[in-house]
Amino acid sequence: MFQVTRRSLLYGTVAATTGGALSGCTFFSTDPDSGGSGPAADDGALEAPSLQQQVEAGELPELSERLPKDPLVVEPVNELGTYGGTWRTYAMGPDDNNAYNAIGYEGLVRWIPEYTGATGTDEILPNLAEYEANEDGTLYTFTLRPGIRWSDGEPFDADDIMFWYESVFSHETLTPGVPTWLGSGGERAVVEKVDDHTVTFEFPTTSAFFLHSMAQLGQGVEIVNYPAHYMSQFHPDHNEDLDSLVAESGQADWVALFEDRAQWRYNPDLPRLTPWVISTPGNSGTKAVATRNPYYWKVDPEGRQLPYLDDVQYNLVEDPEVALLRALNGEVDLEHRHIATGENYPVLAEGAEEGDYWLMNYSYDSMNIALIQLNLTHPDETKREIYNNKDFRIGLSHAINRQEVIDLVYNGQGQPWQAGPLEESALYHEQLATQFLEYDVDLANQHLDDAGYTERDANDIRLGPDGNPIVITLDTRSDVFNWTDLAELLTDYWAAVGIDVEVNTASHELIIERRESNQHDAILESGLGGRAAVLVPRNYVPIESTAGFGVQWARWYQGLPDGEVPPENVRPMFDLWDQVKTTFDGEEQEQLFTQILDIAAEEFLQFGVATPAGEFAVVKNSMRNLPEDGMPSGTPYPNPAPYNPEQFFQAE
Amino acid sequence: MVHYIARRLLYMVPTLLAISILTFLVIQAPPGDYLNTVVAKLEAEGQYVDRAQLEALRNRYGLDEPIWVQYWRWITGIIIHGDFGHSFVYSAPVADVLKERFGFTVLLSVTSMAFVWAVAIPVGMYSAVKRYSPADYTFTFIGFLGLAVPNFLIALVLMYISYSYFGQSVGALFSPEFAESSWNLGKILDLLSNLWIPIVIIGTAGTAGMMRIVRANLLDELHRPYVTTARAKGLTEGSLLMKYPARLAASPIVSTIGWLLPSLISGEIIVSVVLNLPTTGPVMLRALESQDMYLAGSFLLLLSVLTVVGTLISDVLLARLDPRIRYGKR
Repeated sequence: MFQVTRRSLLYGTVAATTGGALSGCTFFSTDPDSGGSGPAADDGALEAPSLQQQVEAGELPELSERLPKDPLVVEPVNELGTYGGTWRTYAMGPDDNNAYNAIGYEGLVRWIPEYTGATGTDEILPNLAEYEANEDGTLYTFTLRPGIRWSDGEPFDADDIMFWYESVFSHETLTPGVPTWLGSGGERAVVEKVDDHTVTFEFPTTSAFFLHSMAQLGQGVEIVNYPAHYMSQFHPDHNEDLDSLVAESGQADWVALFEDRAQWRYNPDLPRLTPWVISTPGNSGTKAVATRNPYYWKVDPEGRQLPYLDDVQYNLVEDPEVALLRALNGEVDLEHRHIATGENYPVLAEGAEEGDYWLMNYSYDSMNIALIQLNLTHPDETKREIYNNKDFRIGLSHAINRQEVIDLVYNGQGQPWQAGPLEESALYHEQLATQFLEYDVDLANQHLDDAGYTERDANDIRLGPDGNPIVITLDTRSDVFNWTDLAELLTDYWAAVGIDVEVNTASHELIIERRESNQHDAILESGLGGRAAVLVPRNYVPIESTAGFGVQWARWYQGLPDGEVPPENVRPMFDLWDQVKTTFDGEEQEQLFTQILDIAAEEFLQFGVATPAGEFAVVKNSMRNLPEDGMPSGTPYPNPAPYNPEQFFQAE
Repeated sequence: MVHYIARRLLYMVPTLLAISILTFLVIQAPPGDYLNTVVAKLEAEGQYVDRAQLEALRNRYGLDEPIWVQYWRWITGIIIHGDFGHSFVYSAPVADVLKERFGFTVLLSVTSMAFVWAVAIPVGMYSAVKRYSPADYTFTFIGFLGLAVPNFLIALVLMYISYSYFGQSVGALFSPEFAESSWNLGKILDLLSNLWIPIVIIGTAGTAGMMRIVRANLLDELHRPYVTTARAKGLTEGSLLMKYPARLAASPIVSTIGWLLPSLISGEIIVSVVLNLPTTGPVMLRALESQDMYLAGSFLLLLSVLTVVGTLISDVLLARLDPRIRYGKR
């Protein structure tokens, strides 16, 4: 039963050496803002002391009336917890929406905590609802768990889903265009209410990844964000006297009012299904606070209502350095965002003992620190011709001293890697991941000569087909760890083989603007989709314009008039992807996707640098029930939310 | 005098209109709009927005309209309804966003200005009187150092010192436990214990500059014949200094009083960002970065109004102080 691990040993050491100091540091227990009592006092109680007080005061119904008859039981990661405590973290300014992901993840279904990105539906757990799919993936039935209530005590049932479907999703003003995940074959899904606790989603053709989308924040989770009893008052279909509400609110029109009220991060009045509900929004003041939801519908194995922690506090900071200092100072209980960049690892590791925290390493779902994407659909004919020359790209790839990049810029972590799925993935494709990785200037020069650019100018820069020196402007984002350093190294490597590179470092917004208007020569892009390649396929088949090597092809694929039909060698990728999308069986999907990877390997459309070092989080030693290292991170997994933050607790 | 002020007030109207047009144009000048920020945030988390949806959003926010239409809607809102528009970043009315941070910004500006004057004027005068003395060299050296080192760097260094030697919570005006609590003695003491860092940082550069101005002005006056005359008539050095040259040397200071007004609300942007101060500076920076044009535009407009009014105040004060300055045309 008792398992000696590195972590528990560390706890022991810390406790032994700093025991005296720790007992004097009673920040949590005496925090005047949280009404919770000391952790030891509530042993055996089925609800938090603060809620018990409210029940006794008659402000809240009994626990048995608040919980479903058959509440969802959450298995704690290590041990049963105690009530009380605050999870302190931070948000980077008022519109750092993703800061709240960890407390907003309650959809009809969810990812299993140990998500690996495998195909099929094995890694999707029932949550608010049990699900069932028919054999060809066109009809999905969700049976809602009975007795669940919104955070204001109103019941949650099929009518809430139908409100979203009829009044939000089907309303042209509120939902212009069909979100891709809710359509197939260009048509919208049809949602029907079977009974009070059953809804069906029907698609005209197979929708292979519908359930996966339902498990994602920002997609499926959105549909249970519209409590009908509250939101209907802001909707013209349900409230004839809406004009007066609009006038009262000072909003421009009802759409603005409706959307404003539906923003759960900013509207404390909006009923929720999540463990904590925003009580102090982060768009004013200096912190955002989310407090315990008295009607939360999950319990621990002993039947005690979750969450254990009383509240979650987000300090609003303007600068990542401030967040870093806060973490070093021991004022952050659990967070990885904005500070978990490689350059901070040494300083955070060094300060771990003093700040009383440890660093939890994530298993990051990314296959590359940077993908180097030449614009294969460049509007300039000469540049397009050069970039589309496969020998040219191979030459550039061979010219990169990847080991030196890893050693100089990434603390020696990572291994040279092209734009292919990670080795642990079922979709690992050896050729795609490892071809042309070798650092060999002679070989690089040979390929560039083979490409036809043998003439050089006075500065030893190769001349393009138009007789002008080949100059590539490389767009890099200023906000990504070390991309500027990487770009500088690339400049040297490529100069050595006669290619001139100008690095253009700019904000993410500006880089997007340049990419969306197809002005870029080359761009660095993140390597998402290392394991969940089928769910984040854009780095293999350019179906979204985020793939900087085929922006115009993505446009064509999306049916936009200014798109461009991909050439014969690339086109089959898109046809194959269409087949993947309409294939429900996981294994068949993998087979088809492997064919896409075959083409990607053969065509070598873009190239990579190295596998990235993992992300990590700062975890206060008092935070319990977190896994040891290895929690997944990266899209589509909104870490740490699938690990059930409601079962995190704090202990001295 | 009244005529003069009235005329100046009248001139302000076209000036401010021109400023408002210019600021709106400048803010809109970079390619893209607020939705790029939205897309950037989604992309950073691996999500993707359809172009069709993006266009619909652009249309909803009125971002697809010609720039003069957007300007007209904004400026008429301000003039007719006193409505500065809606901030995209904060999902709140612009007026609320600025109002909330106004108090601390004024507090910080006033205290750091007081710090600057309290330090710079006596030191500057001393340097002038004891020119080329070791003390003058020392002050001058420190002053130039303060002027040369960027404020945000001093901020980072002081934060590090404060973290590693005092264990103080850094990066705000309040320690976390007091941030949202109601006012009491503890909170005020906490504010004072945190306030010194921004005051010193913002003060250093201002002090250095002011010190040099005071010193130079006073030096110009110290060797005038009237000083020699007064000294010959037996005035003590102290009362001589305060009574004649110091008064004349003050006019450049008075003429910059007007600049105090805009700085009251602009704060020190970068320092505020680094120190995480709840002032208007970081709001401005974020608004510009995210192309939140109503927020940025309104803020800049407010700054311009204060600058124009401040300049008027300075001119009037200067005219009162120095009879050689006349109103109106020659």
